[in-house]
Amino acid sequence: MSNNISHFDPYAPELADDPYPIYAALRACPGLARSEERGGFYIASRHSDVHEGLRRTDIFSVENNNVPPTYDPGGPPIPTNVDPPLHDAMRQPFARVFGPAHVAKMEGFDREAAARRLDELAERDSIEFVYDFAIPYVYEAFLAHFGAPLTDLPRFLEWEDRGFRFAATDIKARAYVTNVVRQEVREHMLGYIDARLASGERRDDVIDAIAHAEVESGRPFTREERGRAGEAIFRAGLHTTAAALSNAMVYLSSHLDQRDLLVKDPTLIPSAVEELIRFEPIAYPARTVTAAGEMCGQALVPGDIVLMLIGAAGRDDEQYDDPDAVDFTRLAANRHIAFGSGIHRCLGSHIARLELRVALEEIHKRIPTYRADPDRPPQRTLGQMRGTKELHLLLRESSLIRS
Amino acid sequence: MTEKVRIAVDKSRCDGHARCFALAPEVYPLDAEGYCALDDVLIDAALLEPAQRGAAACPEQAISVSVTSGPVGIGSMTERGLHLFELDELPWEHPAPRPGQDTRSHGAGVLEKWLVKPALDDPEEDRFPVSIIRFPPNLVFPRHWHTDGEMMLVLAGSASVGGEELPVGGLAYNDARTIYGAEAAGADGCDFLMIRRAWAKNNVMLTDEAVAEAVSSGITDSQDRLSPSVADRGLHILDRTAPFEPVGDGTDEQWLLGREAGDDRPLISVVRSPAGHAFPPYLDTEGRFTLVLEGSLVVDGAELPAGSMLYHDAGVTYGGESAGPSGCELLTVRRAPAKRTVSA
Repeated sequence: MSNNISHFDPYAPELADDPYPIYAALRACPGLARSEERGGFYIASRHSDVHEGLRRTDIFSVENNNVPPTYDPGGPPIPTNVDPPLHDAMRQPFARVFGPAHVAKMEGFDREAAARRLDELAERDSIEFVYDFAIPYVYEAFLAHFGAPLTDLPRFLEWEDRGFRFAATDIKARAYVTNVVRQEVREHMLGYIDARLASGERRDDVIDAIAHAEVESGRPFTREERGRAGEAIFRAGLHTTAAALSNAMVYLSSHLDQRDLLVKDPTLIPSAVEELIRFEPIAYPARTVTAAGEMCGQALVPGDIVLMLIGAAGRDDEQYDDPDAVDFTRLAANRHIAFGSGIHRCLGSHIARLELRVALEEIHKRIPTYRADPDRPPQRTLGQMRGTKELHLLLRESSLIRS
Repeated sequence: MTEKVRIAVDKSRCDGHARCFALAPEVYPLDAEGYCALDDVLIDAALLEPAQRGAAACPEQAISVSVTSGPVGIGSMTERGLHLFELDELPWEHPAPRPGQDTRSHGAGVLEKWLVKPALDDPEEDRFPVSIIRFPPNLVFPRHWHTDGEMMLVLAGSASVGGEELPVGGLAYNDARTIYGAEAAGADGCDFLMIRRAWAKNNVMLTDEAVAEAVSSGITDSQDRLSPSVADRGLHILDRTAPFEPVGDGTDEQWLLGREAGDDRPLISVVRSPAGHAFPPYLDTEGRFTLVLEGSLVVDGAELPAGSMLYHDAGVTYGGESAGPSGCELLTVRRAPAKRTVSA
């Protein structure tokens, strides 16, 4: 097993279907596990260790949070890859517009978008859930919250097609996305922001928050900083939520008893959202050591990288009873860290929760007989994001089961 | 004795997971940014179960829930009688948010500790509000006026009122319907005791236009200067220069404010009592707040040192009170003149 672990590579295609056995082996390693793949990196995998690692800013930087290291040529995305002391000042301008009270106003729009798309899809016998629903739904919800015109949706979907959502799971895609696509996105986002500033118009949306962001009173974001924020918010808000929704549906479409629980009692859906993101959290951020120190008994020196394997933390039996089972009634026992912990905890978690809840509510109302297509199993992805590339669903009752 | 549930949230650990709110929204409100809006509060014992559920769900374990009971403090204010405030036990809270204001940054770090919190809309309510306010260092509160006057006594740090520095022990009174400010905390911040006759509304005046409009509707603008004497309306530092006068029961009283009946000010005086003086059993028609300034006060055999704060409800007969071995000086505040009935 130790050999297995020293060659643990989250990008290895053979792990994508079921990485959880090796996660269990990683949790059993004393201290921090070490892999020599991808230039070498440490792995935190127990809940308590991942939790600690995410909160520690004394030895860790987020400027690079990738394995292998990737630095954006346009400067660290804001606020995701900014360290203290600047971090708080660069995150605060977005706190309210991503806060629960503001986000709650989007529910009607999101529900209408989900219902409209699902009613169209319900005409069909089968769908590919990721591209037919998850991505366009999440993008539409994002554009509305962001304040961008919905007519720009095709432009965003084109970036998606050019590899955006594989940047976390495919190293080749990552280089192209980082160096080319992200720079285009940045310019496009700056187009919205520049136009808003030029118009003098004030609106209650993310564009407004970026356009008028100040690092401190009287020191507005520079144009370059506004571009870094716009691109980071775009990237953090789209394929993440689409992946979480797709992952949830991978599970539900092959566990029809659980699906039926949600059809019968939609009030379970909010806790089902929490449980399903505990079961398969999407993001596995890394941290780069910038000051010599120690974690879990392991001495760390500047340049070391530690992968925070949130997906393994979610299955830690020290933290959860029967962690490999999905139980919508876990409630208070579900202290998951799927959104991270500490100062970099997901800024958009309230949006993600809203989009996931609304989607699952409308799905279980409008296409309640969905199930996984046994002939076309889901295509899963790993890397630094647990995702789903394809999920084929049959929408009709058993009369349409193919032999 | 009433049991209460105390919830203390370690705000430095709260990351905004909002799991407490998801599991017990009736106990854990969120602020506009998604952080737990509670700090340190006492809530009804009936909410113990949801309070514990929400605390258990916190990934940061930032919430502690405990059951408290005791004869003192807010927890016992449902009962009528003599209340001795255990000041260290009373929680600091963020002042209640005002509409349109986000709670996390609300009040720029101002905290509030309630001693007496009267019911808002109860016509039978006869208590007056008493709280301790904590201003962070160098906080400047903008110009404003209140619908009711305000007594402030500096307990720690310093404040400036009407351009005058008010050190620990400094006592000020600002009349109702008078614009003043900025009142400011000193470099070490300021804790002050605040007493009003009734709940008041704050009206913050951010612009000169707002001030002009208020003045045209009959509000006085102090221009942040102290009034020449307490006979004038405005800002006053109560400097305790008035003579002590014999009350006739062996104690002396120094009037600081409001002795003239019928005005809108509270009655503030200092009662000086010689060593061992026993107060005969009495009943007042008004409630009374007391702060032991000097010496000590003995109540039912317990010696309450300087700094002790008490509230006597109206309509209750009190006995067994006497001055300590070195006598005492008691700052007393009432909202209106009281009629006292002394038993033999």
